[in-house]
Amino acid sequence: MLNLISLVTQLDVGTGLAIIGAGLAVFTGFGSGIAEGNVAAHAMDAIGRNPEATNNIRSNMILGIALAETTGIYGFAIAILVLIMVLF
Amino acid sequence: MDKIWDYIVNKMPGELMVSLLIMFFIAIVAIILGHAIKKADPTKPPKGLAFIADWLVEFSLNCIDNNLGDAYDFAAPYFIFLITFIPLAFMSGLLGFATPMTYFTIPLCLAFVSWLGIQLSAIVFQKLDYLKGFTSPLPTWIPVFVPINILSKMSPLLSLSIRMFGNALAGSILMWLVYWGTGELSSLILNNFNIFGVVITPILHAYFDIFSTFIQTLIFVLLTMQLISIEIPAPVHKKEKNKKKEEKQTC
Repeated sequence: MLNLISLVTQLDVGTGLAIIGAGLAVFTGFGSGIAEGNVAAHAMDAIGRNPEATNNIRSNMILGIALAETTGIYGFAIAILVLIMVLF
Repeated sequence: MDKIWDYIVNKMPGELMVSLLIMFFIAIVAIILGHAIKKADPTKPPKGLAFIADWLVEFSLNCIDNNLGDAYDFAAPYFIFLITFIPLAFMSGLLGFATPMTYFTIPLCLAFVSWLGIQLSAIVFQKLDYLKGFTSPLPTWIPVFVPINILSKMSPLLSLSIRMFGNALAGSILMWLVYWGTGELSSLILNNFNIFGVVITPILHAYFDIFSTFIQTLIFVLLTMQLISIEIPAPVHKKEKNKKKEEKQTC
């Protein structure tokens, strides 16, 4: 724990701002979380209306969730890139 | 040859080594299973690993028939390879090996093969329309949108590879953070023994290593099939001549 605190206190303002930028990049998860919830909610609606097609709907729902998740993962990858470029 | 050997022994990253080991493992198991299945009695139901192999072949053939059509049956080995390789590559972290998926080369290579499959099937089935598609919203004599369309052709490559890489990396970074935090906490009580980690981490391993592994495998296989099926007109079936030949052979 002490190592991390001493590391943080040695950084200058620009690096700190870059780290805040990395945090903001991870914030894309906000949007993709809402989107995934929407996909799941509508899939549940569809299953309620048409229970025979459950298997088909489930596989399509997983596909939709994966597509919606992509933006969140892009944000994460950019955050990792920023951290690597700033800290190492 | 010496240089290659020197690279393999001394300089190769652990992730690449583990992925090579996994491929050797799959190859050896597949060869042994193939011999065992050839000798096995076809009237009895398969047991053990042979049953899993049987299920895998049937599952991938069914998926291909539903999404792409009979004509794509030749691609079944690739999908079976994906279904066996991706879980092993994700879960090798559980056995203490390096996780190959956190090394960007490996998801990039997997995505590249899928991307090649997508583009080749687009070229085969669309022919000239594939080239015309590069100027797509405008008529062919105004090549304004060509760079944008080339970029959009590349986008499946990026999205497939970064999805797997990001998931594996996020999982391993979160696990590392949890191990580090619980280690610091338990060092207040005992030195050199991670008391809290033993309690918390198995649940997180179950999620990040096992659950997300199966989801990612499913997503990669399904996305590859869907992206191919967007490019081809409809599920393509074998020509009837071939089918008649097969029927004669089976009779």
